[in-house]
Amino acid sequence: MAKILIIEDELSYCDSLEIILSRAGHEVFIAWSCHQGIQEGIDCAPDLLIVDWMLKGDLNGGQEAKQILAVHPQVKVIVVTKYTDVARQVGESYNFIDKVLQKPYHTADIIAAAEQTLAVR
Amino acid sequence: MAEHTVGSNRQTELRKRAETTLNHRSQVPPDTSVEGINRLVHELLTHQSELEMQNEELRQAQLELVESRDKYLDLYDTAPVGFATVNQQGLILKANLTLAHMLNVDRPFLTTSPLSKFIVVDDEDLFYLHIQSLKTTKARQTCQLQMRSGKTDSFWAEMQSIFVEQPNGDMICFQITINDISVRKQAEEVLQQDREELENQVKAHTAKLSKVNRQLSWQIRERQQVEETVRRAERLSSLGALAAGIAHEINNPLGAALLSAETAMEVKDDPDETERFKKCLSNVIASLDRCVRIVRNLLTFSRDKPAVKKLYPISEVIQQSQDLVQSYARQHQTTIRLALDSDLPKLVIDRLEIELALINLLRNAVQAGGEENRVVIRAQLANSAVRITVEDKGCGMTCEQKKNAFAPFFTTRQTQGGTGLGLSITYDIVQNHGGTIEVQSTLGEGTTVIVTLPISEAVGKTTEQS
Repeated sequence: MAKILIIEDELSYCDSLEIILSRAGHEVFIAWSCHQGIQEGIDCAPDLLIVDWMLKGDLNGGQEAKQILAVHPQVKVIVVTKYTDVARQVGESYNFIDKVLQKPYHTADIIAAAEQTLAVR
Repeated sequence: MAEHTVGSNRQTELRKRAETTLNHRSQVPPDTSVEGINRLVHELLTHQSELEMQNEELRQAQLELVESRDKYLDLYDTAPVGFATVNQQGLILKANLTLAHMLNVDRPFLTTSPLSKFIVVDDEDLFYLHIQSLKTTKARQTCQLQMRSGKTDSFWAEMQSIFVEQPNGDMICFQITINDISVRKQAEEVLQQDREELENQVKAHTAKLSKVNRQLSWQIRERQQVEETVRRAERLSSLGALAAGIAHEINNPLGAALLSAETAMEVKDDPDETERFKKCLSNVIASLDRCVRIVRNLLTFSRDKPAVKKLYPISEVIQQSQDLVQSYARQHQTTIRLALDSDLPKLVIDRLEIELALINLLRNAVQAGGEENRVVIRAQLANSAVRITVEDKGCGMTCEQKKNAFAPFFTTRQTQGGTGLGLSITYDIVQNHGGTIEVQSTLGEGTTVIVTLPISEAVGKTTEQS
């Protein structure tokens, strides 16, 4: 069982991820915006952060994760995105990102990604 | 000698008549005194002198008469027109020398010849009609016909005739003047030829012109078709650029629907998860609904219909344009802020065209970048128009760029696939709606494009009614 923080402004995603991951035995935290996400990340010190790359607001998912990592460097990071070229953009400045998952994805994909990322210690 | 004899006979006769008259008068016996005889002689001398003077005066008067007659004869014969006096049978009674010269005959030959003898055969009918109408109307008649001159030549003559009659209305004769109008006729013929030639030239030119005209209108049609094709191509190109953004836009709700549906499957058999199951299903519906809306927008945009102007709320059109550019903007990490006044009216517009125009402006603004990455689209009521401004804090334009902003195929983004048609098409669309478009830009500080769309009186009424 791990603590997973989801930062995602699409509420449907949040709902589904919350159900799936909690049924998989994890403790799930949800944030719908940049600001809320950073605060929540610092407060709950998650094992895994699942963050959308393109969030409403000033920061992208990578910059968001960076701020949380500054406080809790052990946090694993999965970036989800609808854009195909994020993987290319995720260069050296975002080398802390463990996995990029492209939307749309299946429930099995996100569970597998979470398990795999958490398994690497 | 004979004249002299006639003269002396006449004198003798005159003498006798005088003596007789005197005999009748001399009732009183003459005074035979010397005084009486002297007085008589004196009286006689006075009479003689008086008679001599009268005689001289008479002779002078006769001379003047002869001179005058000669002058008139001369005038008659040498006048610059031919004169002829013709009797009822058409015979020439008298003719002047000029006419004889014209007809190239001796004058004595003319008298008692019929005038018709000198008319060219082809024109004899004309002459006959001329004389007939003269007899009928008794008014001056004019005609033009050809007359013979000598045995072989002919000339064009203008004939003017009058009817001379006795006090009781019986005809005496015709007085006819004949003018040689050959030179005039020739000039007229030349003129006629020139006119015909000119007319032919005009006809030829007209034919040439109308051919060129046809070619031109064909070219214009062709050009219009090309322009139409270019417009369509530009719309499709805008559509292509938008399609990528829209695909992303669709991806999100589609992914959410997929995830929600799968999650629902996951929990469907768990009696404790009924609420979550329902939530997942309603999420599926909401997400798919968003997909439907986006696809509908896309279809509306790509439909290639001829321009149809209808009454639309302009704020809705602006919002839809912003919707369509939203994903493109996010891709460029740019936000588009809407600032629409609440009292915006409906306008008679071709909705798709105006959307296309606004999308072009918004995409340009997004591309202009800038540190703040912020584009604002405002709309407000200004007099009898709606003023829409698209403002960015991006790179701005140089004077040269500003000058050419609306010129077709002018682009600063050639390497990024800019066609240079966006603003030009936007300009056309705004013009077609009777509106104006203006660019205000400072290099390095940003650009504001101001579009003004008029609310016509008729539209204002319609708006009130609706």
